[in-house]
Amino acid sequence: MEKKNYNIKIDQPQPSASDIQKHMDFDGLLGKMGAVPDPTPTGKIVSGNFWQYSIGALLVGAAAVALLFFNPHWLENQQADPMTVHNYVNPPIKDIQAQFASFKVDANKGGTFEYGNGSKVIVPPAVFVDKDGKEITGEVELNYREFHDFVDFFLSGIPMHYDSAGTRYQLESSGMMEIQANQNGTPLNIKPQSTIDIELMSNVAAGKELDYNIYFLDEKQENWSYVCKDKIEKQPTVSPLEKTKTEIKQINIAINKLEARETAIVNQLEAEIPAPPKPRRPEEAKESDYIFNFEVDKSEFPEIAAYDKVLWKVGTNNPTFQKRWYKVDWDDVELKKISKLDYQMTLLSENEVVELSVSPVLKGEDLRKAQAEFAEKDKVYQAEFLARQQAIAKKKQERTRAIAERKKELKAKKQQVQAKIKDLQAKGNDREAVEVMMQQNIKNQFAVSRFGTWNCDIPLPSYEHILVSNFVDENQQSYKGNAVFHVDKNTNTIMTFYISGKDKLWYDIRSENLLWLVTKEGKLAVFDPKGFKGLEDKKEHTFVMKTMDQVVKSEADIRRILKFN
Amino acid sequence: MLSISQSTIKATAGMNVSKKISSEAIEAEWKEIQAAKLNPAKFRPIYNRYYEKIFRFVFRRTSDEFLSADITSQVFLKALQKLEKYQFKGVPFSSWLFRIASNEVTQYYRDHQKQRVISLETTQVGEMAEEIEDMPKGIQLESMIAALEYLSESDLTLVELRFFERRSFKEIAEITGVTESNAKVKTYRALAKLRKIMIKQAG
Repeated sequence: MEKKNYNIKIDQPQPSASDIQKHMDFDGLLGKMGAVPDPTPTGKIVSGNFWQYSIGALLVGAAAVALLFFNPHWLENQQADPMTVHNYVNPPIKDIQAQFASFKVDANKGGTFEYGNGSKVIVPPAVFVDKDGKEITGEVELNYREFHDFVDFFLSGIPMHYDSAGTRYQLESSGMMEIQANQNGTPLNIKPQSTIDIELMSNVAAGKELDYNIYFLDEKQENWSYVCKDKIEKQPTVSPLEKTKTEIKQINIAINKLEARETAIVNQLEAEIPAPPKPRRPEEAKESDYIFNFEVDKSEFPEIAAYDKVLWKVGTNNPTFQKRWYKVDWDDVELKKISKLDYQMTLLSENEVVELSVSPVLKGEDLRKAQAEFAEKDKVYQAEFLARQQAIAKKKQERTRAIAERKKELKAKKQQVQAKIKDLQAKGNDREAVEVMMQQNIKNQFAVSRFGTWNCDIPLPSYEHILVSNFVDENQQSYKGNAVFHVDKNTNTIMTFYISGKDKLWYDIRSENLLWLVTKEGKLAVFDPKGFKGLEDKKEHTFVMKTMDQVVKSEADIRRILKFN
Repeated sequence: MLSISQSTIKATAGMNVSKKISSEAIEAEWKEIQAAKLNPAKFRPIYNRYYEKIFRFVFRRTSDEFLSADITSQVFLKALQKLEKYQFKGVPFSSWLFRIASNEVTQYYRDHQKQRVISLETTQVGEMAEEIEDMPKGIQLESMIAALEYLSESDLTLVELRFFERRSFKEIAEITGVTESNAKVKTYRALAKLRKIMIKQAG
């Protein structure tokens, strides 16, 4: 029996989770593999409605970045379709995305840039660096957009949950924004130890405690990272009527800008595709016109060489024409072409020189001959003209497609806002006053140290009611694998899960709830909020989704469909 | 002096090895692995999920934080390098990672000729004592710990996995590369050897 001399440690302290986290370096590992870290959100199996698990008490506080540690219980409870892989950030309708506002920034000077709703991006001088940390000079393009409500969250595909040490929280937002910068298309970073200040204008339900945190969307870790507390400043409340009127003005400005861009594109196209020469209809010499008859050296004027006798009509732009000039015995006449069919005639005598603008006119056989020629040329011209118009229209459609779509969206939005104005005006001041009381305008102030998506949030406690849910269409056909979106009227967040059968839906029975999904055809299938009435005592329910007739093509379409009463 | 008390034994009565993971979750993980086979960057969620588990596994065998970090890094590097060959056998991917980790630790001690670290808690020794049939009366914890010194590396590994880390025989089988029934038989043989050593030392 041989003694092995093992080094036996009894009851020795174990490293903490945060001690261990410090050693994690997946990108370094990939580097050793020679692989390039995935620049896009990493693929991930997302379970069924696992946001509901263990939301529990509000523990987030000043927690640092939380990682998804292995938790067998967590895995055990997943309800995902195991064959489906979903991206972490997964916009459900790729073609409908919030537009970035683009600002040109002098990297040396920085500046303050205002977003449409009054939000500000305050860029200090010399804050941009390239991927190697080298400071950037010259012009930088700064792109910025905001997400404020559940439709914005839905379209962004950004998850609104936060995992902390294996526990999941739903985040209620008081405003979310994305900021990016590039120089000539090359993405830039913010210089280490530097920040860009953000003043994000938003509103929350009146009476809400203004205790929000700032989180950064860490797409690599597939989680929100807690950054700091949100500094919130209350803002004066603007009446809904004033607000909507301002909105109309902003929409009109945006439409005008788009139309100006459209006109510029058409002008450019007209320059690119030259117009065919338009033939001039031959003019008949009439008795009532002032006409001069003289011989012309046709070799100098080949355009009239085909005609036997060309006469010259004094143009109406010679108001001082004197009839007596007919009776003057002119010594000489000079003819000079000044445009395609306009000429300058100079009559010369010993005592007088007269300059008149004239045009050729014909009569008799010459006229008939010219008319026949004109008919032929005009036919060719009309065909060429039409072809050009069609070419311009086609190219215009190609180059202005995005503009047209945006214009259509803005016009639809304008109609909505106009209807809202009418509604507000019709319902009078009482309703307006109530609406003003229902919301509080705020300014979220924070500094960003990285480009990406930032969110002003509060982690939510769990809902009490659970409903084991199945989803079918009007023909009782079950949905499988579709993402289901769930919002309630009292909470500015969105909950998402993927249907795998008997999914648990956690919801607030005291609130109005709205459920929807996107069909494979790109249509919205919605469960009416009223349908939740009577489900309070149920443990399981099959939601019959109502599929909308049309494929959604714009944000306005979505807002028209997804609304609470 | 420590003794194996009744209360220690009671505390171990409900000993149940790791929680069962659903087949759906295992399959879901298999999809992640398939994605990672095509693009190593997709390995990140698996790395995030298992890093701490593997680190702790290594730490128990090294008692050195930085060494554990190095070995854990090596484990994941090897896992990524060998991922193409990984075959789904209906068991958690973690078992495969632990097997690599076990091999890496063994390799480390082989290369550096250092004393192998065994981490244990006194309660775990009590649990182990409860499993030993016909445990001689009056045996102290110190004697059991001292007896561990005479177990072979392979026997010690089985005891560690079963009693100090509370793993199922299925997991032990996966990590050590034997069948489940073989893992069970070998573990109890190791316990029998331990008993024999203790009796010999007492005598």
